[in-house]
Amino acid sequence: MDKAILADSVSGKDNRKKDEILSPSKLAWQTFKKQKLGIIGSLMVLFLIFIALFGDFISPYDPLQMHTKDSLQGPSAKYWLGTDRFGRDQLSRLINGTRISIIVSFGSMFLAAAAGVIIGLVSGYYGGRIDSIIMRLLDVVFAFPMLLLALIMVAILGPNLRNVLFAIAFTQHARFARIVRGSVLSVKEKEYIEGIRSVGAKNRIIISQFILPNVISPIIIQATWGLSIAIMYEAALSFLGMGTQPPMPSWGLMLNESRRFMEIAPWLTIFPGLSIVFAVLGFNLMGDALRDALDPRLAQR
Amino acid sequence: MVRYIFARLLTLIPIMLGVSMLIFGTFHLIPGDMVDIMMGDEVAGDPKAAQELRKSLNLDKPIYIQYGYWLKNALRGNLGKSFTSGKPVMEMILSRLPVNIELMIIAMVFIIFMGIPLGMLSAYKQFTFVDGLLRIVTIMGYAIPNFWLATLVVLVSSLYFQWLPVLKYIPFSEDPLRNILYLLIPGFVLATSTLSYIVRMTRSSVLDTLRQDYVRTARAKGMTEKIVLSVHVLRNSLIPVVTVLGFQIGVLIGGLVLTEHVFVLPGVGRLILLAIEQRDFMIVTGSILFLSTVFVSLNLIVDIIYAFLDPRIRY
Repeated sequence: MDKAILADSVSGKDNRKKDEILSPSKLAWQTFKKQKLGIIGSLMVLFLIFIALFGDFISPYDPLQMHTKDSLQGPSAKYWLGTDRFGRDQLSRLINGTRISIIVSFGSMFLAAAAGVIIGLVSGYYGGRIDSIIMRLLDVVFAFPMLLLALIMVAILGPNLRNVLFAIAFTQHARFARIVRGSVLSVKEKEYIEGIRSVGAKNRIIISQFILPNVISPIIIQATWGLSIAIMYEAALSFLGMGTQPPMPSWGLMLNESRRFMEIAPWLTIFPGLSIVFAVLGFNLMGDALRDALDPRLAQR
Repeated sequence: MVRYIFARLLTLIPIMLGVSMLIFGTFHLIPGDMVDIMMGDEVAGDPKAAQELRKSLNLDKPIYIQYGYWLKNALRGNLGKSFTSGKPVMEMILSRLPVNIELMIIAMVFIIFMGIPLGMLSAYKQFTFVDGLLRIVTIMGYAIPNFWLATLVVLVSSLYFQWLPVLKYIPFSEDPLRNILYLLIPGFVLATSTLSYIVRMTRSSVLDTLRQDYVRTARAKGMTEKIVLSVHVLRNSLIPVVTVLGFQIGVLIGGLVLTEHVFVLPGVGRLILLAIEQRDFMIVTGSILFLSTVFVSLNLIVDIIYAFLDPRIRY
C-alpha cells in the first residue's frame, strides 16, 4: 500500500530479483541490514543478552564470593579484570551485572510500553473528555526531569532493583502513550476505517487489525531508545545509592564502590564504566538503524 | 505572539497543580508514620508531644486540607522547615542555587556555542574526515554516562595532575574568576552527552534544510552563500534543535545531581541526595517542587523561542 516499493528504487548493491515488490517489513529489513553500524549495534546487544542468559556458566568465579587474601589486585592471569576490596573477581561481577542491566532495561521498557499502549489506545481511540484528561495527566509526567522523578519514586518506595524497574517504567510510559495516541489518531481518520466500520466491524477488530500494526514500528523505535536510557538510569540510580544495593553486582553500584579506592585501584572504575558504555552504545546504534529503517519518510532515499 | 505566550502560561496552571499533587501524593505514600520518623528515639512513646507535633504540621487533618495548606505555603515561598536542621527549606535551596545556575549556564554555553556550530560544520563537510570524526565522537559521547566521565576526570586529575583545579570549590564571593574557572570542567562534563546529541541533531537538521527547495531557489537567485546560510538555513535548521533542547534541559537538571555528587559541589542536587539519605522529606518535596517549577518555566521559555523561530505554530 503506502510503502510497497519496487526493488530497483532502493539504492545500493542488491542481489534481489529485479522488479520484485517489497512489502514494508521486507523493505525495512533490507534497509536495516545495509546500515553497518546497526549491525554492529545489534551484535553488541545480542552479545549482552547471551552473557545475561549464560553468565553463570562463563564467569570464572562466584560474583559474590570474597577472596579476601587477594583484595585490590590489578588485572592478572588469575583475576582477568582484577579484584575489589573484598577480593571479589571483577570479571564475574561484570558478567553477572549484565543480567541485572538486561533485566531492568527490558523489564522496564516492557512495562512502560504495555502501559503506554493501553493508555494511548484508550486515549486516542475513544477521544473526547477521556482523551483530554489523560493528556493532561501525561503532561504532568512530562513536567518532571526524568532522573528527579525516578529518584523521588525510588526514595519513597525504597531502593531496590524492583523499584528501580518500576520507577524507570513510570518515567517512560508517558512517552509511549503519546506516541501510540498519535498513531491511533492518524489511522482513525483514514477512510478505510469508516468503510470497515460501516460494514459492522467491532471496535476490537478495528484496533487489533488496523491500528496496532501501525503502532508497532514507532513503539519498537521508542523501546530501543528507551532500553539504552534504562541502562543509563539504572546505573545512575545505583551509582547514587538509590538503586540496587550491595552486594549485588550492578554496574552503577560497582562504579560507586570503586570511588573509595579509585587512586590505588583504577581498574575498578574503568571496567564497569566501559560496560555501561558498551551496552548503551549497542542499543543506541541498533536503535538508530531501526529508526532509519522504519521511518517511512526515509524509505524513498 | 502575545496571545500564544498567554495561552501557554494558562496551561502552566493545571500542569503545576498536577505536579504538586503528584509530589504531595508520593510524599504521603511513605510507609511509616511521619511523626514517628521525625520524633526519633528520644521522645518516642510520648503521646502528648507526638500529638502536638501532629497538630503543628496539620497531620491530623484530612489529606486534601493538608495539601491545601502545603500548596498555599508553597505559593508564598514557604516550603516548610527541614526535619533535620530546622532551617527553612527555601533558604537552604536558595543558598545552594547559585552553583547550579552557574553549572547550567556553563553547560548551556558549551552546548549552544560549541554544539550548534560543530553540527553545522559537520553538515557542510558531510563526507569528509571532519564529519566522520565528529560522528564517531558524538556517538561515543552520547553513550558515556556523565557520572562515569566525571569520576574518571576526578581520578585522572588526582593521579596525574595534582595541580588541576577540579576537586575544589571556591565560592563566588571569595574569588569570582577562579570560581568560574573551577566550574568549567564540571560544567563541561555535565554538558557532554547533550552536546553530542545536539551536534548530531544540528547536523541532520542542517542537512535536511540544505536539501529544501527554497535554499536552491535562494542560491539560484544569486544570493551570496553567506546570506543563504545565515538567513534561510540557520533559522530553519534551528527549529528541531530548539525542540530537542527543551527535553535536554530535563536531562541536564538530572545530570546536575550526578555531577554535583561526584565533584562534591554544594548545590541543590547534593541537598536532595543527603536529604533522601536522612529521610528529611520536607527538603526532598520542597526542592523537587522547586526544581520542577524551574523546569516547567524553562520549557515555557524554550517554547516561546521556538514560536519566535517558527511563525507557523503561533496561534
